[in-house]
Amino acid sequence: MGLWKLLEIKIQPDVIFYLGPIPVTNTLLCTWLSILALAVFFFFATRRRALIPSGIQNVAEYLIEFLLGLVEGVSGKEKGRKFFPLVATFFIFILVSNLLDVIPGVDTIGTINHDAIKAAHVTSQPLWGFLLFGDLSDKLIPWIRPATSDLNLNFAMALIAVITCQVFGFYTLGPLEHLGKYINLKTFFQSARRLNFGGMFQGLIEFFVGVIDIISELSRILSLAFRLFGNIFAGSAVLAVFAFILPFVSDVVFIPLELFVAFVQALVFGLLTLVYLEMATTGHAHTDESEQEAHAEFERNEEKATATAH
Amino acid sequence: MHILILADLLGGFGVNLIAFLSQLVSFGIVFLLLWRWGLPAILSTMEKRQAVIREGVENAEKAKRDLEEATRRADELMLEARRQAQDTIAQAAKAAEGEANRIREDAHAQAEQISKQQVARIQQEAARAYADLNRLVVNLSINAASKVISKSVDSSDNRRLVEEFVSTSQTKEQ
Repeated sequence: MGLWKLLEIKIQPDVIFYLGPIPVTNTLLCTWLSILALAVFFFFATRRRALIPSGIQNVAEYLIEFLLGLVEGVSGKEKGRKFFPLVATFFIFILVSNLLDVIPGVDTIGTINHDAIKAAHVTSQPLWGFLLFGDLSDKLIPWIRPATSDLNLNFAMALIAVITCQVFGFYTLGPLEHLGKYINLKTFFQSARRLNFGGMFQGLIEFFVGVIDIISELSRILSLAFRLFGNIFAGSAVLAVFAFILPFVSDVVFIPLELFVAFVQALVFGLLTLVYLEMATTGHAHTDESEQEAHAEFERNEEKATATAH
Repeated sequence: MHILILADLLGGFGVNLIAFLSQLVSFGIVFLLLWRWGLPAILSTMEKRQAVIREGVENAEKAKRDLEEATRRADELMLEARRQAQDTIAQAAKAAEGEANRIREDAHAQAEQISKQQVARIQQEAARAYADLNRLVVNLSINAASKVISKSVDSSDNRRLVEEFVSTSQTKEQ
């Protein structure tokens, strides 16, 4: 018999209780805790808004200024202000949710899974005081689990990100131009009218590029959700495994690493959303203009080089 | 078929509609909380501070400009005052020189006048002395002649003769 066993690593979140017909999972509970933490943070940060900031107001302003600079740096001042609330919310919320992973008690405090013990046909209980002990010590349902290790939340956020991109695309470019990025048969029909087979072939390629763009948009939901899920879930698993193998000591190495991952993943999600938003609100015309400018500059440079050579 | 496989796969990851909607609503709450309250509150404070700083910088720049303008104006005034002072000094020097010349000329004129007066007085005194001397000589001559000839020469003819003699002698001497 071992002193204790490694906690069962489950992908699915556990249901802690029901709120009417709604099952409240440990990840949903963590989401609510994150909301509460954010509300408390912003309450104290905005309670006494001094012109010379100090304490928590300073932290909040530093964070907001960093994010605003990032968003405006990528999208410019005008569009940046429109994208900022969503990108900032993604970053801040994901960061707080991820950071909860390293708080003691998360993933380790919970209730004993009696059903699992009964299913194993064992009568004993894995308790030594309030600590888990023995072969059944892995039968625990944690009350709190990092919210971002639940794919439901990650899918919800990814879906919001992608839908918002489409909404901004429609709003900024207009329906025709925006849809034209995905259903592009203009070149094909124009070439068909002139019986230009080369142009028709190019038109077909453009059409398929549009189809690939649609698939790419849909795959963004999966990529955003699974990237965040994979990193945070793996981080939790690593912490659990190493806490089991080398208690206390391993935390010194892995908790700072997890803090870094928490920050990086929040930043990646926010930045990718920002890039998607920027791409959705930039039309083909803009790209064509840029290409034309680049061609013109290249030709000018060529002429200069030729003149210098002569 | 593919959708069923995907749904099955996602179900294996614990994805289900109720949990998804719960998380969606929860995130919606976070978004509303930050979008409507948290972020604007912080941003407004930052913008207010930016405005105060901008105003301060603008005021400082304005004060600097005003100071430069005042310094320039003061320099101009100093230059003007110096120029005026030099003009005044030059005018004063010129006036003093004129006044000195005038005083000198006056002094010369007065000295000349005094000199003339003195010469006139001396000549006058000399003439009077000469007349007195003449009279004395006449008297002496008369007295001497009276003594010599023991005859009174008080008559007016004698006296006239003597005076004519004296004046003739004087002319000869001159």
